[in-house]
Amino acid sequence: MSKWTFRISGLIVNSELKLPGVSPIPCPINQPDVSIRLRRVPERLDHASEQGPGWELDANHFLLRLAGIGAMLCTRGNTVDVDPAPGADPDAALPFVLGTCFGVLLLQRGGLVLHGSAVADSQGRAYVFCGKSGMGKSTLAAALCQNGTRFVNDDICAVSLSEAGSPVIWPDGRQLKLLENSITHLNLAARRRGAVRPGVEKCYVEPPQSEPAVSEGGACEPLRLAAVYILDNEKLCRQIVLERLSPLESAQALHRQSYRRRVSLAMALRGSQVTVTAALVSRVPVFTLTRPVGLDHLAQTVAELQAHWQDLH
Amino acid sequence: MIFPSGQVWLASYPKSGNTWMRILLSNLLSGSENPEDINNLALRDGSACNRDDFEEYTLLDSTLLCPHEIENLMPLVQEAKAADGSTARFIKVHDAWRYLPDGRPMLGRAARAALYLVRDPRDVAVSFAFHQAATLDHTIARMNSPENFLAGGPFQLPQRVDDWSGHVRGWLDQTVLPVHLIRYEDLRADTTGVFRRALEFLGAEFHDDRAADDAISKAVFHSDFNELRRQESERGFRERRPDQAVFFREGRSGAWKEYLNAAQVRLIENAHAATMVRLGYELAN
Repeated sequence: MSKWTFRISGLIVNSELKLPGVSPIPCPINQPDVSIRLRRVPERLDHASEQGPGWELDANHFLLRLAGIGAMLCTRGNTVDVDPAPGADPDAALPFVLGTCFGVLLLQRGGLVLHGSAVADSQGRAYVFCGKSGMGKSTLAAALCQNGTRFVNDDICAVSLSEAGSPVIWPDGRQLKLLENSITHLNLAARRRGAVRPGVEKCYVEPPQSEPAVSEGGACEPLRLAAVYILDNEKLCRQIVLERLSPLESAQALHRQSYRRRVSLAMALRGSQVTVTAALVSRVPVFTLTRPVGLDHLAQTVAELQAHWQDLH
Repeated sequence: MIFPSGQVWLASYPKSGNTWMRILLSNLLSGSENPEDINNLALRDGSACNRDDFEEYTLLDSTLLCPHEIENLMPLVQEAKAADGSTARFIKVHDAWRYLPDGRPMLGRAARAALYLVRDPRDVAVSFAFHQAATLDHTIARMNSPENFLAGGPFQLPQRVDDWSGHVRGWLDQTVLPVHLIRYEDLRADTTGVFRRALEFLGAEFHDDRAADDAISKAVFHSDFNELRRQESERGFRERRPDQAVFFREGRSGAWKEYLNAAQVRLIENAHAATMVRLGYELAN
């Protein structure tokens, strides 16, 4: 039986487990978009079309199996069943439920899911920062949120289309996840909320300013996507370089930046991934943002981005 | 020139000629009339510790995993990577050859061969100390410790490299895949001959002997140490650590005689005498 209700990436999520790094919403809803349940899951998928180390995928299911933690089964974009390993704490699976499983769940629901973190300006325009792990997506989002923008989401960013056909994203109601050097550099120690997993360095951090996942009435508003930035670090680069990509380059870059690209590719022709990508490249500018390695240029990146947004609108 | 398909490990302890071997192979594969750009090599097959590759195959955020969880997935990741291409691929690796508690080799079983580069540990100590901007004593202590590891970073997973002798023994004595030993000193002294024998081991096929001679000599000429230093001084080298003055520093053999004191030489030789003798490195003590 579900005990908690959350709003994550615009979806109503009922869960039998208390999810870390995300605040429950006060009004329980009987018809959720997604249910997270404690259930036994099959050992294998009978008709897996794709597989990798510890995971399998078929038309409707994604099965993730982690030694010592347990198995998680995502079905049709509606349920995540958690089956803890013998003797394991069910909560040990939650960082992976909220990360990999939730990302795949969003892919199962169709649409484009970017590996990126997002912020929004005071006009409600959203900017997504994509890049591979270690590129500083969350750190840049946190730094921007110390300078007048609001946090929208971390690491997983689902893009859908509004009724008018504009690409939009949804506040995910979650906390940032940052490594210690970023927390120290940004003076965010007071906002640290504990390790994402026992024994790992990455911690949940309360964002300095965030876009509410739900308004007082329980509603959830999407934000218009105003630009996508593909982050790159370059050791030999001494300055920050912004370059706009052509529509074709943008489509290729968005594919490379899709969340869990192997699963995303397997699902590319289902749902509206292609339609959303086409709308995005025709309506939203995509840039590469190349920076010198390290945190020393973070403040300068924030300043240059804010100036860039002035020019964009 | 054609290589058989499949993955080949370019394995070595740090600072033992791995980068140079990649540049040689890259110049050979490009076949260009100009030297390869050291910051944009045609050989783009990456390294075993690439964090992004690990996440691509496992679908997991590696920063949420403990070291033993990463190691437990590593054989599957390496085997999936090896199976995921039909061409010849050369993957750099500094990890020691180790077995997990369940008996699986940590690097999997799917690579078809390995080139193992080894260098006099006394020269490694000097080069490694410059590379890490660390003292010689600290570096020697690391090279003598079976617990030695490279910490990794935002783009690299941590790598357990073992002590120097353990690294050599692990790679040369494993029986999972064929391994070809290359001494850095021999590669410096006779680059063309040693490189040619490595290519023969790997089953490289050339149109005829003359084509082989031309291709190998050109690759060796384009990978000359002076050329690498020239490129680094003009444009920098992205594999240089921020605290390191230059990457292609000296590259010569025997420099340890000018940098190590007698006690430091003894510390290395006491720890590694048997392996040094096995490899033909003459002991000073």
